[in-house]
Amino acid sequence: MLLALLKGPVFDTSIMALLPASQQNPLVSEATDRVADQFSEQAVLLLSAADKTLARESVHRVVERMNLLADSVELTWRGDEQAGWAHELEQYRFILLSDAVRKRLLEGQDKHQQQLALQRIFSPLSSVRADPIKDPFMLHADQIFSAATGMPVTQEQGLIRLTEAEDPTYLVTLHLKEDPFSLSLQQKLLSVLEPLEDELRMAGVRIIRSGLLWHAAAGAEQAESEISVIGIGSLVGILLLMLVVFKRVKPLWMVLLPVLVGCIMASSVTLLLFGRIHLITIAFGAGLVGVSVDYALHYLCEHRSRPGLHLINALLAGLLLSLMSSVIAYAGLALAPFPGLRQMAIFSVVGLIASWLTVVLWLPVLSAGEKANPLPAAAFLQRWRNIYPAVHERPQVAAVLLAVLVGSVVIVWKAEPVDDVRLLQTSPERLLVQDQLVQDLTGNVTSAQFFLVVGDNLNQVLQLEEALEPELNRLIATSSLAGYQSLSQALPSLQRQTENAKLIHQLYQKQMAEQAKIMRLSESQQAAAWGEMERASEQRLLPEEWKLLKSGKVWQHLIIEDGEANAASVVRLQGRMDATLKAQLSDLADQYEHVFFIDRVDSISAVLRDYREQIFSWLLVAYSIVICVLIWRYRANFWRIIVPPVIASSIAFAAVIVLNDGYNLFNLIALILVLGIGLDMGIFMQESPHSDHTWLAVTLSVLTSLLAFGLLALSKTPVLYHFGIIILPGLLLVWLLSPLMKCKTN
Amino acid sequence: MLILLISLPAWCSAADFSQFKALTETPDILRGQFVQSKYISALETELKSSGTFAYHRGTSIEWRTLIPIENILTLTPARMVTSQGDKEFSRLESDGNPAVAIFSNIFFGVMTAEWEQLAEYFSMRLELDGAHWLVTLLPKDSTIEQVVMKVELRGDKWLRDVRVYEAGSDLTHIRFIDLQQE
Repeated sequence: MLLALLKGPVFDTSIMALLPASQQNPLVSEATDRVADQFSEQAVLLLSAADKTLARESVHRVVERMNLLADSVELTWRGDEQAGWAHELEQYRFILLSDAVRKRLLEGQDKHQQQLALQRIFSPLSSVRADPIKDPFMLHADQIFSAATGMPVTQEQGLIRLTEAEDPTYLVTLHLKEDPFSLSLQQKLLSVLEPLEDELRMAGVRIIRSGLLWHAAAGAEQAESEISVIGIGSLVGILLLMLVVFKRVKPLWMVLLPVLVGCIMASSVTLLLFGRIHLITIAFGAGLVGVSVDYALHYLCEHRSRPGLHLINALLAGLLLSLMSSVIAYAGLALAPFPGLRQMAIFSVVGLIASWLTVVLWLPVLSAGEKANPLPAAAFLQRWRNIYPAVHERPQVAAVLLAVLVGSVVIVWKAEPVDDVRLLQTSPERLLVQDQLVQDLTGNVTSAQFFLVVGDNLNQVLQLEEALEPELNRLIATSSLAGYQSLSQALPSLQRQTENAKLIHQLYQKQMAEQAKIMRLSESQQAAAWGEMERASEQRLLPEEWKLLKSGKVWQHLIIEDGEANAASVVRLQGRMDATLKAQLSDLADQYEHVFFIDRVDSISAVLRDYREQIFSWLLVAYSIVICVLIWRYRANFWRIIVPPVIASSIAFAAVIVLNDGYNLFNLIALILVLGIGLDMGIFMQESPHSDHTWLAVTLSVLTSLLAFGLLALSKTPVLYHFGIIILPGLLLVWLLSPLMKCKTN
Repeated sequence: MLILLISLPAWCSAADFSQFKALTETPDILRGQFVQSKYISALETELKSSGTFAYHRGTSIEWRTLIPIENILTLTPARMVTSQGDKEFSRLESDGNPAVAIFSNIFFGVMTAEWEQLAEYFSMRLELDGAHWLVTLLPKDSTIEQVVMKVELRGDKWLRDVRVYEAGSDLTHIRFIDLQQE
């Protein structure tokens, strides 16, 4: 335990950490991870104001302040760096041709290229120094003018300005050097940014944020506050309850001890096994408090009516069964290869076992010497229970229950499962709005869908991309695809480079003579021009060289792998992805053996669906196992124990389905919990059916569980909300239904 | 009209070009002819050309070369189109192509003496000599230096003479004649 504590708490807030590893093709999962990382490593700030000088000053201010965090964040905000890059490509002007030039030459319109070159040479201003010997057809000018950024931006006074925005808006990109989910990084950044934002807002400058970092920070903030509320709320509630019922402080300690031990053990083991604890596990585990309290409560209540060291022996059977049923229920969570659920399972199981052991081993010792001291609360509750009809006395009750059960089952049968990835994440509306705004202004490059192109080597990959190009261009013209970014746009395959060189040869053959005449080149100058072209067009730009170029660096993120036997790249897509477009893109990928259309949203939803189906099976299996065990111990009376959880679960489930228009994976997990906790009640009632203190213990345990888990229903985190919304009504109903199952009394 | 108050050279900051505005008339539509001579240091020769131009304030510039070649360069804030007769050779959009946008803005600014536009890219120095003025433009950053190293604008009521100095001692000299406003 100390070991784990010494390591230091490492809290995980990443929703993705809850998801299982991909079982797909390793290249696909690597590509998916890379694209996801590229997305998550960047955060964007847009600075906008009505007056452009003000907007520009604010960019400089932001950059200055952010420089304090230089070891955590790198900034991109200069728009004039690109200018130097195009000149690196001058030596490749004959083999790296822009699409426009290629098209012209392929269509035999060499004359147009010549005329265009002349226009540029004679133009009063040009971006390239005219050198009719090195570049009589001004191909380098074409390179410069076609160097697209893929984003609707332009350079202004050294800054990057978005052209689509109404007000002058400048772009600052933050490249994070740490995990965006790291709480320390979030705090560092926010501590610099938030005061700055306030200052700028007062001056009339708008800051718009986008990027996973801000969502993560908001999520962490929310989780932390919820944990405080839930944890403290349940603890306070339980303490109050204890005081009201027991009227003394000592029982409090005896209840808290197992809980404390349970939590500490749970945390340590989880830390040791997983290295980090997810905040959701802690929030869930906070509910563990309510469950592990049960054993202590039970013991304490019984002790009031039957004091003595040997009480524990009498209770052992019941306590053991109760522990087993809960452990079976929680263990089900560990079956799913969701790291997050496994964590929750281990946390809960260890916690429960630890507190159970504490109760069994320590409480008898601690409470030795206490006398019988019946609690008034027990009497009160017993009176109430006696009013209850028993099922066997009033058949109408049974009929009503059956009808309700059937109704619920029908609703469940017809229900729609929801496997949306949005179940996993919640972000405040304002962040989502800002995200969309930034997306619209920066050209809508999506990171959720992309093409993966594989091959034996990078050149093959480039060739395949080039084959894909005309199809993608066709889609741009006919569908909602707005554009794409592919490696081959910056680095043509060797075959294409050779083709380009040939096209240039043709151009020179057809048009050089005329060009020379107009520019009054001498014989020797003409020969020099030819020689220069022959020499330069023999070059080929290889990937290794290209990677060293500054213009290459910006495109390198598209390379997934460039190895000896394997190469892969991604083609990024721009535009609004609706179902039609996704289908078209998927069809396109199907036509090529080595092109894959990846849809991250879809695959996450598929994962959720798989696990929902698995959990559903486990739910049924768990019920079966439990029923078998109960039959073995209780023979014919087993139904008295199992019926309340069954009916309560069905009703709660049906109610939630109606309320939320469907159910999801987390609702099912919650049903397992209802089974686990609900069984405890039934087991204890069967073990000592007439003891009023047992009923008190059971009631208290329900109340504590409600306080612990029921509060989850207030959470804004979908995962926790969906747990709570089932458990709250479920447990309540089990408690209300249990007394109906009482045995015949004499 | 003219304000003949300053005869000393004065460096001007971006916000201070009110005195520039007073130098020239700014008609909505201006047409005329140009005579251009371009010295190309790589060839050590001068290329001469001439043609007509038409300028619609804030909307477009049409630069029509007639001698020795015939082609038309049409610039609007959104794009750069090169054509001959009714055949279009090239269409470059400034959206997403920073180089095109910068080129287009500078062209507009220089050829039509749009001081506000020029102040974005250049620091400007004014020298007055009676009715004639000379404005020297120096690029504010390295991106602009790639287009021009220095520009000299001369004129009186209208812009009459432009000298563009490029890297490596290339020099383009343009004279405007027969200017008519509408």
